[in-house]
Amino acid sequence: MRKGVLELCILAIIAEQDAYASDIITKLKEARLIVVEGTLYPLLTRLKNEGLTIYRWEESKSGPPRKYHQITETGIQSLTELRNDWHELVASVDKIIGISK
Amino acid sequence: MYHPDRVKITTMKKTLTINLGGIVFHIDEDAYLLLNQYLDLLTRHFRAQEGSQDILNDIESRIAEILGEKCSETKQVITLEDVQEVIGIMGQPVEIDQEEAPKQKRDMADGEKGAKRFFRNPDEKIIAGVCSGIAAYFHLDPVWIRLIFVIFILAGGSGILLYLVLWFIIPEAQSTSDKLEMRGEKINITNIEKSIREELSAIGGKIGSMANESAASLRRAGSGSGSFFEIIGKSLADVFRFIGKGLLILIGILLVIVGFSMVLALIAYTFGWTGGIYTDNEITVMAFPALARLLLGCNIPVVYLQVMVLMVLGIPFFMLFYNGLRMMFRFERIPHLGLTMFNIWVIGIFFLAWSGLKIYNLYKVDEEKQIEIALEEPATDTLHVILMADDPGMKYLRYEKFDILGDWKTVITEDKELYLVPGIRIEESDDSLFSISQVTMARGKSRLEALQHLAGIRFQSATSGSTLRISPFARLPKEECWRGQAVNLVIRVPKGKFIRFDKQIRDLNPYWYWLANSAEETTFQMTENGFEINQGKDHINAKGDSTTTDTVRP
Repeated sequence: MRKGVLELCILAIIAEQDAYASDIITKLKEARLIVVEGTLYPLLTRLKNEGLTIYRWEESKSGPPRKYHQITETGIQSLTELRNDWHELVASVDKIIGISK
Repeated sequence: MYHPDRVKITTMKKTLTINLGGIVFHIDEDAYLLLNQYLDLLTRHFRAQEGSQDILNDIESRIAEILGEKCSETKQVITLEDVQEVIGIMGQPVEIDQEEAPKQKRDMADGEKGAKRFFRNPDEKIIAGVCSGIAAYFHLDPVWIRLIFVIFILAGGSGILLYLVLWFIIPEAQSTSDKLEMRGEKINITNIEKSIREELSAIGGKIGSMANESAASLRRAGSGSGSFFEIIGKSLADVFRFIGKGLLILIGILLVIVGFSMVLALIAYTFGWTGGIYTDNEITVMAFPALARLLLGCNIPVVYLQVMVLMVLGIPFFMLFYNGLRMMFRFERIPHLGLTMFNIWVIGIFFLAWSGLKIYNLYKVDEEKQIEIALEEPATDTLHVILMADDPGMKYLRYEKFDILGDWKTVITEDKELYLVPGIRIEESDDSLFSISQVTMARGKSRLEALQHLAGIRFQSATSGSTLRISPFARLPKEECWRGQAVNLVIRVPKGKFIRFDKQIRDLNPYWYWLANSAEETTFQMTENGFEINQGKDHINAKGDSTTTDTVRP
C-alpha cells in the first residue's frame, strides 16, 4: 500500500529545503511513516538514479562531511504529478469509504 | 542507551580500531563481529540493486553518525549493546523490505538469502538439530527427515551412526546470516542464475583481497626486516609452529584410532558380537551377555547392564575420539557436548554402583546342604567312578560352546538351561571304609530364597556295588536363576585303597589336570604320602609331580 508514498514524502521534504539523511529520517519518524532507518537509503539512491534529486557534500562541524540532497527540475515536475495522483487517490478512496459509511 | 554501571562489571575485552564512514572508532571485538556480520548481510541484500554501493556507503555513514553520538570523553569504546541498538535503528533486511516495498520487490525477496549451505538448526533441535537443518535446506517439515532417521535406526541402527557423523560434519548455524543460508532458496531459473553470479563475484572478491594481503605482507617484510637474525628467528618460530601443529594432528590421529577402536570393541564385546574372549592359555572369558545373564539371572534384563557399561566405559573412549577429531580438523567445540557426556557418565556410574549393590544383595545369604551317599563296601578294594549314561547332560559332554569363568566350566544350552560341572575332591578316609558326601550350595537374597535356589539344582548320584554313578552336570532348569549354585562331591578313600575314574570324567572339565590325559581310566591309590596316581609303571603324584612309589596295582 505504501508503494510510492514514501518516495513522494521524501521528495516533498527535499523540495521544501535541501536535507541530509538525518533530517529526512527525523521527519519520517515523526510522521510514523518508517520504523527502521535502513529503509531510507535505497529510496534516496533510487530517486537520485531516476534523476529526481542530486546531492552535494557539505562540511559538518561535528563529524565527517554530510550528503545534502537537493531536488532537480525533473524532480519538481515529478513531485507535482505525484501530489496530484495522491490527492486523486485520497479523493477516490474517501468517496468509497464515505459510501460504505 | 548507555549504562555506566554495566560497563563497570565488564571484564577486560579486546578492542579493535575501525574506520567507519571516515570516522575512527574503538570497538569491542564482539561488537565488531556483529557489526561486520550486519554489514555483510546488507551487502548481500542490496547486491542486486542498482547503486548498491551508494546505499551501503550512506548506511555506513549513518551508522558512524549514530555511533559517534554514543562516544564521549568518558566512553570511548563501542560496545555490543551499541551495535545492537544501531542495528535496531537501521533495521534487518527483511524489515527494510517490508517498509520500502519497491517495484519488482517480491521476486527479489525470495532470492535474498545468498548461497545455500547445510547447517544444524539450533532453534528447532531435538538432539543436535541435524534433521531440522536438513529440512530447512530442502524446504521440508523436519518431521519427515526425523521419520526417515527413525526408520534407519530401526532397520539395523545405521541411522545412529549417520546421525553422529552428520553431527560432526555439519556446523551449527550460529549467526543470522548462517540461519538465512541454512533456509536455502526455492530452485528456479532466476535463483540459479543469481547464485552463479554471486559465486563468481565472491571468488573475484577473494582473489582481490588475497592480492592485497600479499602485497601488504611484502611491504611489511621489506620495511620490518631489520636484521638477518630477525628473519631467521621468525622462520624458526614458523618451523616450530609447523612442527607443533603436525604433532598435534599426529596425536589427534592416534586418539581417534584408539578411541574409535575401543568404542567399537566395547560395543562388540558388550553385545556379544565377539563371543567369548580367548586369552593365551585357552581360557575363555565369558561373552558379556552370557556373563551378565549369569550374574543377573532372570531378574534384570541384560540390556540395562549393557547400556550402563557402555555409558561408564564407552563415554571416556568416545571423548578421546572426539578430542582427537578436534585436534585433527580444528573445528569448533560442539556446544555442551563435553558437559552432557560427563553428566551421562556420572549417571552411568551412579546406576552401575546401584546395580552392583543390587547384585550383591541377590547373593547375600549363603546356604549349604550335605548328603551322605550310602555305599556298600566295594567288593574289591577299588571304587569306580563313572557318569550316568542316560543323563540329559551327556550330550553336552563334548560341547564346543561352553563358557568359562576362571577354571569353572559352564554350558548354557540353546534352551537357556545351565549345566554346571560338579567339583570332585578326594580325601583320605578316617577309617577303613569308603564314604561319599554330596555338598550342594546356593545363594539368595534371604535364607528362604537361598534354600529355594538350592532345591532347584538337578543332580543325581547313585551307587551299585563298587561303582559310583554321577550326573555329568548339575543342571539348572530354564526357570531357575543362577545364584551361585554349585555341587561338590567329596570322596574319602581309606589308606591303601584305590579309586578309578572313567575317561569320560576327564571330558567334563579340560582343566582337571590331575586326571591323566590319554589313558582310558585313571587309577589313584591312597598311600602313606597321600594320594598317588597308579598307571602301571607310571607313578605320578596327584599334584602332577613324578614320584617313585612301589605301589602295585592289585
